[in-house]
Amino acid sequence: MPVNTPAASPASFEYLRDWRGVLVPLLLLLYFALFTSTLEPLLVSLTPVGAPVIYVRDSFINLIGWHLFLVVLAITAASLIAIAAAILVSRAGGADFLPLARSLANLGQTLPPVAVLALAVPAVGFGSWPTLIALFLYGLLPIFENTLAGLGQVRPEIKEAAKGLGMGPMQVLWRVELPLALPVIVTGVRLSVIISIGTATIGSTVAAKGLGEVIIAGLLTDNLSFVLQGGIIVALMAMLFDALFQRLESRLLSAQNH
Amino acid sequence: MIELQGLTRVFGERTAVDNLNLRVESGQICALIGTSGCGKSTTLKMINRLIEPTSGTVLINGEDIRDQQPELLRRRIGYAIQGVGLFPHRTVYDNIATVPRLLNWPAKQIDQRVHELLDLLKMDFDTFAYQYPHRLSGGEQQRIGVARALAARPELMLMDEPFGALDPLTRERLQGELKQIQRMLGITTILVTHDIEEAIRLADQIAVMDGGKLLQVASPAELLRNPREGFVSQLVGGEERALRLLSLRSVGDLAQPADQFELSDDTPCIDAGMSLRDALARQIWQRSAVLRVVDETGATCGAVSLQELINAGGRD
Repeated sequence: MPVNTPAASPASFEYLRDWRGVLVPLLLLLYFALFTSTLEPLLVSLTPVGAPVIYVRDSFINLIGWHLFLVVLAITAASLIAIAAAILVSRAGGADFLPLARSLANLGQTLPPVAVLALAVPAVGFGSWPTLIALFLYGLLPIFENTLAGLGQVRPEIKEAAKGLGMGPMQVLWRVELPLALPVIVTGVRLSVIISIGTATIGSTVAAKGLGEVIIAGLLTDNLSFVLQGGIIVALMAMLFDALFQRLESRLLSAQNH
Repeated sequence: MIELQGLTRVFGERTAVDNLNLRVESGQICALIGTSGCGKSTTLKMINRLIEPTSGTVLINGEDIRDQQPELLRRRIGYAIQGVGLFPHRTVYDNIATVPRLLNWPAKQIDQRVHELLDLLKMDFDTFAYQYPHRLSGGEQQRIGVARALAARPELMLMDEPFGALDPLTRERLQGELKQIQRMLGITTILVTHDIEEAIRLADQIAVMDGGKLLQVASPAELLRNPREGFVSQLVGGEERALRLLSLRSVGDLAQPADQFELSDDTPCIDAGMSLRDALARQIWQRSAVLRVVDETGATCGAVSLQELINAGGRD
């Protein structure tokens, strides 16, 4: 029997447990980003003799910032377009466009991001733009499909009741359909964000700022330590955002009391 | 008063509703009854313009419903459906407040109205107002559906099999409550049902439909006594017809002065408010051809005999 355990109040304990999925990757991420030098003894064996063990050409905080900036910008744009498109094709007048919208979104997903980069560089030049385009195209499909699924699962009698009580089409959409579809839409955004966090690393091949440059620098100089540092930080970011979005989803679902 | 004139709706090749004429007086309940696919729900939805008629008109208090924008029209008409259609992401309070909010009522007035309606449906405000629909039982959800339909004091109430999904006991209780509330508010109601018992219990006027056509419109007693040949006879006929007729009248209605009978202290009692059907059942069960009729205070106010019941429920 745990008689002499310190008296932690159950509420705060539960709070910590609920948030551990967010806290653990967050703390690890901060540790890796701010105190990388303390890991030098561990990483030195992975480094070629004479080469630097820790990436110092830029601060990790700066690179994380750029990385996230690209992801957030691209996925925000993708969300707006994909959600709007899904709403349009789910209306009575837009149903004809469903196959077209679906194949466009699929195309975005099928095209490998590397190919998009290769095609985009001649058009918009080196830097962040080609990466933004690739992330945007790659992010469309999950959000589009989930928005469609979310709107589709709203029970018909609920929509009929809304209409029968005197709501106009926009009121039915904003007050009933979208709130009920929101948890599923958020799941789509989560998938896109996580895919993007990983995919954004290849943007560094065309000179976009981000954590990809640490990994690529490592690959070019056979420095496994660099690859590991970049890779772990990207993975922790993906885990952190996954956990954050899952919290949001369960919050939304419990608000709807499903 | 509501009038349907020559109402017709064609879906492709199929005529769902065929030249329907019906008039419901203010404050009455009219039941539209028929089998599935007979056009009763389509008729109902043409009244609040969820479906537009192919031809014909609907007049509410002499006013053509096409003169008003559909959304504005619907806010004046209460609408309760099977499966309730409560908004799962909104509390009971917000569900009931739906139409008043669409009509931009001031918050204070809405609050007062929600209290009133929950009172009316005998639901405690503190217990229910901030619950989400999925926490409620089927009967409670249906009550909230009715409260939501009544919220903005509509002139007319449309109900599409509102009690279809409930267990028999809850259904009967809610039917009783609905009738009481309808009488109290005097709101004209059109009720779609496939259950003849429900129609007889609730309606002042029953309109029987089959294959998109209106076959007969009559009061429950008239329909039971003189059904038209064919579908209507099948619907109301059968061995239970006499019992259904008895269920329409109350014991107090038929009671004779007590001194015409030799009542003893052992004569079984029955409340004046019960139906004749209940009286017959009690006579059989108690093995007594006479019942003492008592009022709410328990005082004897008459008696009812088996012979009266036979006269009341038997054919002409």
